[in-house]
Amino acid sequence: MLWVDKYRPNSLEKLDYHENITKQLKALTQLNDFPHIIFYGPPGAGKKTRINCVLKELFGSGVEKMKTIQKEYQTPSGRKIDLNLVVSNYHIELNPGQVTTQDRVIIQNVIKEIAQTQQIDSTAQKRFKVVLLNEADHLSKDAQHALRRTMEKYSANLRLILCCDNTSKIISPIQSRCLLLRISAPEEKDIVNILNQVASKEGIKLPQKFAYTIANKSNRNLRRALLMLETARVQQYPFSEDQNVILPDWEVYIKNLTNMILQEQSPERALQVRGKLYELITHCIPPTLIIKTLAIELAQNVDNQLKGRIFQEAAKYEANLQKGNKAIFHIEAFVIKVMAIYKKYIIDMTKF
Amino acid sequence: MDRKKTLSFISSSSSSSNNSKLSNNDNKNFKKKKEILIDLTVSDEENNTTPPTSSNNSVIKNNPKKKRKLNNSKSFSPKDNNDDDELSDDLFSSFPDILDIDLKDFDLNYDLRFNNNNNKSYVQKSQKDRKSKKNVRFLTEIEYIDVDKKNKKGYKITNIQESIHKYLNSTPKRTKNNIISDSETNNIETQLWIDKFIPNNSSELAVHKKKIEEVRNWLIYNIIKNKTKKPSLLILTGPTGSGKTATLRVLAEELNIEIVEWTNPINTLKISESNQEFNFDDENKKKIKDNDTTITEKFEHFFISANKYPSLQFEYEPGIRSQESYISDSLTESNSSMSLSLSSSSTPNNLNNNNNLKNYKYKIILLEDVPLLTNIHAQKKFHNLIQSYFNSSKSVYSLIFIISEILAIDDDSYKKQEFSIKTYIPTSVLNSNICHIIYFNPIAETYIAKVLNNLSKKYLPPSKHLNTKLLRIIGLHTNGDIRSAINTFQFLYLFDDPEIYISKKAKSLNIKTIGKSIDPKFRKKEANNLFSSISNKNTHLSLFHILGKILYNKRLTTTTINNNNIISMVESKFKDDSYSKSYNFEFSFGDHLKEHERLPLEDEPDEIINQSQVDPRTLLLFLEQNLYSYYEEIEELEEAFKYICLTDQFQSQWKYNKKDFSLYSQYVTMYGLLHAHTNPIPEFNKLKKMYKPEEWSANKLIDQNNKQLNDILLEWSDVSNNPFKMPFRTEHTSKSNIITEIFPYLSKITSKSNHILNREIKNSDKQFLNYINNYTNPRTNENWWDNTAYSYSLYPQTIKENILDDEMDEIIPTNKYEDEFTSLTSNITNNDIEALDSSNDSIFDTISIDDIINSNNLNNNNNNNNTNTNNTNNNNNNNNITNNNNHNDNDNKLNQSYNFMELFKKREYDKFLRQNNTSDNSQPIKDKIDLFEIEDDEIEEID
Repeated sequence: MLWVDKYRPNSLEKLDYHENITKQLKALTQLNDFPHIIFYGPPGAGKKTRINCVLKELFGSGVEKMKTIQKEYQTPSGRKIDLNLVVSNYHIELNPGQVTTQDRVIIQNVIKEIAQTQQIDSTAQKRFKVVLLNEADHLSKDAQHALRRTMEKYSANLRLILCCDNTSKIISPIQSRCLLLRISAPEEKDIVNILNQVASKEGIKLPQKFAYTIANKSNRNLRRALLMLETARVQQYPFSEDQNVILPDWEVYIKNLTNMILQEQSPERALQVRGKLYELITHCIPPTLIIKTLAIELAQNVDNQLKGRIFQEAAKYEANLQKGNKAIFHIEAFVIKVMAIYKKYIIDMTKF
Repeated sequence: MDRKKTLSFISSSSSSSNNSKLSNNDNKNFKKKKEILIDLTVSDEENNTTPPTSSNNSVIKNNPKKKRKLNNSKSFSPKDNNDDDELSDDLFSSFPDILDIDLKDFDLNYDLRFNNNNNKSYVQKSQKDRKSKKNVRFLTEIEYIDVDKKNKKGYKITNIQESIHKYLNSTPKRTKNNIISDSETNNIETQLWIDKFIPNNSSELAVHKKKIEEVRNWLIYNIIKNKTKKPSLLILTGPTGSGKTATLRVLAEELNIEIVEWTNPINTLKISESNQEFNFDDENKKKIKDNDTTITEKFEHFFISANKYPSLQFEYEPGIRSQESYISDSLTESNSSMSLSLSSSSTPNNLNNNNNLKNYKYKIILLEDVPLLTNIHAQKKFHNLIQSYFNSSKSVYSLIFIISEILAIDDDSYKKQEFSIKTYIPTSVLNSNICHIIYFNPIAETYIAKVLNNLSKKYLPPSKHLNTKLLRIIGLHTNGDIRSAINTFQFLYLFDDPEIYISKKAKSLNIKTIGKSIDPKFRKKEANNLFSSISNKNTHLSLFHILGKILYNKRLTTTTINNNNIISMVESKFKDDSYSKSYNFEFSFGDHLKEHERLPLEDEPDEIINQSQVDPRTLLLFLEQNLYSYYEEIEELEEAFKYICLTDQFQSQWKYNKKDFSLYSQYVTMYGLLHAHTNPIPEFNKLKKMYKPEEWSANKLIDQNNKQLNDILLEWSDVSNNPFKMPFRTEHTSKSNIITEIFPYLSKITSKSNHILNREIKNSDKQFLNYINNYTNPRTNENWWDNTAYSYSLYPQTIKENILDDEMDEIIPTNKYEDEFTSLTSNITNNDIEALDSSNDSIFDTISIDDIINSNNLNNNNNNNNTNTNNTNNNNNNNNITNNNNHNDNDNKLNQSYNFMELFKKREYDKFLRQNNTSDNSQPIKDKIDLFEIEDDEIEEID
């Protein structure tokens, strides 16, 4: 098992950072009543870890006896959808991202099913069951409205925990019915701390400088930091102080792309970039992530005057991308726009 | 209350049935067989104030007057010529029987009016009953049709009387009665010229001789000389009016082949339904409602029976053995039986005509009016039918399909054909050797002119002959549709002097040079303008034409273009002054708007959109795929993409509201892309290939990968198994994070073959892991275009299944290998970095990574020889090294700050190089598709 999962804390007590939030969560679980909660924050901040800890705190270790079941749901139009659910006696876990178009049906059916059955286990500490919705921001508007209704209807024996990157895509009626908990990314020193813990548990020697490099390169993403550490361990051990931190291949690929964009600005080059963008997209890299990473990489490699402009364009095209149909068009458009801006900038500079 | 009933009958009044009643007949008139169409419309307005019962009473009171007035009516026809007089006499002498009985109720007041401007005459009768204040209008249209060639049998006139009788009984209250009857006059015929002048022998066909020969040869080899007695399949396809059916019929006649044809039953059902509504029991009703299935069932029945039963032969002559000589004699004279109504299934009565009987030696089954195969179910059924027909040993007769090209979606004619044909004929049959496809091209304008010329020579007085140029314009206008050309031609002759009409029209449109201009496109435009009032046939643009029109950005005049080449080109194109005058660019923009100034377009997007039949989404995809090479500067491209993005938003944003914004999206793309060009592209090096949208294949790949990914995740998320067998807990991480974070690292970690995680991953899953993290160089356009290119295997060849599970168990416990391995890798990576450092100085020199890798591999191998590591380790070493290389390389590159001056110089230089290259490559490469070349291989002969 990867270290990310191997050393994942499984109870509230074992959590390392964000002590305040941990205290709050602890207090919440002590109450008789438990609110609906939305956990949100950047990836790799530990949302999911905390959710699992809360569940364990609520229901005891029985929650960890999970099984995956496959269910079939039928849409009103007669289409059948297979859905994988992770189920324990006390909660059910949904990944609505699996079914993009018909998620409303899924949400309604699953939640109704759960909510209509009372908690069977009389020894359970709580009367309610929990529905955990991962990637809640990927839910369609329809599904969210359906969710809102069910939240009210079955509030007696059902609690929702939503997990998402940010709340902007979650409709306000749901937000107002939930407790919003932001799990911010761990600070670098937290990450270094955890890296050291893992290293000592694995029995490897981790130079502090390298630990900080990893923490820095991970963008305060703990999952990524641990993966980086483990990969580094495989690549080269014992660690040297200034060892290279390995980035995911797609990020390297995007870095190459930025090189291409900044070296030459011409339709021919744009066409080459387009090919590479398709390569990224066909590897299932989310288009929004591509734009974001591109923008960050570009901004790092251009003069200060252009940075703001690049982010502005990135924001604009990412917004367009959400509205539009074909993601690749908007990424291409962004690339071409940046090319045009950069070219103009360079030509203006040479005039003086 | 307003009630309207319409009854219509087709009847041929056989003289025997009518003569008894029609005493006043002119015999001449009735020598011909006549087809009478009576359209009886009754509109019935009831006065709201008077209840129906009272009105009935009033009607009865008026009875006695009626007959007198009817008689009066006959004397009221002073203006009409003899013919019409006869007709009206006919009509009313045949009617009184009815009228005596049925029209008693009315106070008749006839108002006879005769319209005799061309071939139609109207008789209007009006009745008024002032007391009951009710209006009834009869509209009776009687058309005499020359039935020499058409043999239709229908209802006798008595039937009409009966039904009128019935009808009037059912609606007793009327006050006004108008009867408009309509008959032909003898001087101009009512039959359409396309029916009248149907070609009688193959020399009269407008189709290219080679095509005729092709069909003839097929018929001879597959029908006449066919010894195997096995059926074969001929598919005739092509645009409408390209002479497919005419060719077949003429040739079949010449070759003594009987055509058994299927026609869709349409009207028969409806009539029977309305007449016998009450007699039907439930089952029959159901059948009628379920129209589709009955038609297909009927078709099936027809198909089987046509094969089973030989054609009825009354005077069979067995002695026709010398077939070839018989063919050459070719029965051109027996044109009366032009098999027009030979459709044996739908009109079984046609056999009563003796002229029609001919002894056919051979028989083919013609499927032209194929049932609509809109749903997949019907299509499958049909396919099965065809398939089984060719499979069964019983089937003897060959099939001929005639399929008109409905839409011009694809420029590539063969692809297009297959597409539409495939809906009718299963591919297994299509690909077998029994199937032969003949494609008919649109008929060249010269051929059409020739046919029209022959036609006018034969049938029209010399004073009315049009000159050949005009005829060619007709041909041009109709896009090679001979049917529509003849129709237009006929229509022209409705004017007293067609030539004068055309020249007047031309003057009013300011077209001076009919048929003189050289450029075919402009001649076409001209022709369309000229005939727009007569017939406006839609011309469809195929996808590639639209793409060309938008991407090539053709603009009209020369005023602001500096490029001499273009000027000369344009000048040569518009030698006629009239054009450049009419399109002169007259106003100019202010300085602040100069950048938006463009020349006028050659083709307005309005027109393109009107003529386009392509789905806007598809169009957008194609445009986006192909536009790169049509723009020279990144700024133009930026502008173009501004609109592409906008369009994309238009196309998706509204789809949930079920509103169609596709029209806007089309306008936005077209105008946007055209505007984005700041310079027209010179014509000569413009021929470029068009590519299929990458998006499609990319989407396919994404789906494929996603499916694979989901499968793997499902497998790994199966927690009921021992959780420690899984490399990670899938439920702890969202899918996108798994893709972007866990998988890349996991593949790296497991790339070391003796890592412990390898025991938790199946080899197949590992392959996917490696595949999904393997970013190759992008495919080139060429590859995407080639269908085989993107159907490459899911896993690239480079990934080897080098370790079997058994082997792995052996490897892992031996720790000493691992130590050796790690020390080895550390050495090599250090070497790498040094090598890279030394070569880092020049950033724009392409660092030949391959060289470094190779050199390192050599070292590597040496080391390996020393340390006796096994082969698997060796392989993995190499992998690791390449990885490291890439990373180091990239990092180093990025660490360099960008010196923009250098970049700029570099780009200018590149540009210079590019320009040189393009000028060298100015000649179009031969194998590229010529977009605007209209397929016209037939123009060679006549001019």
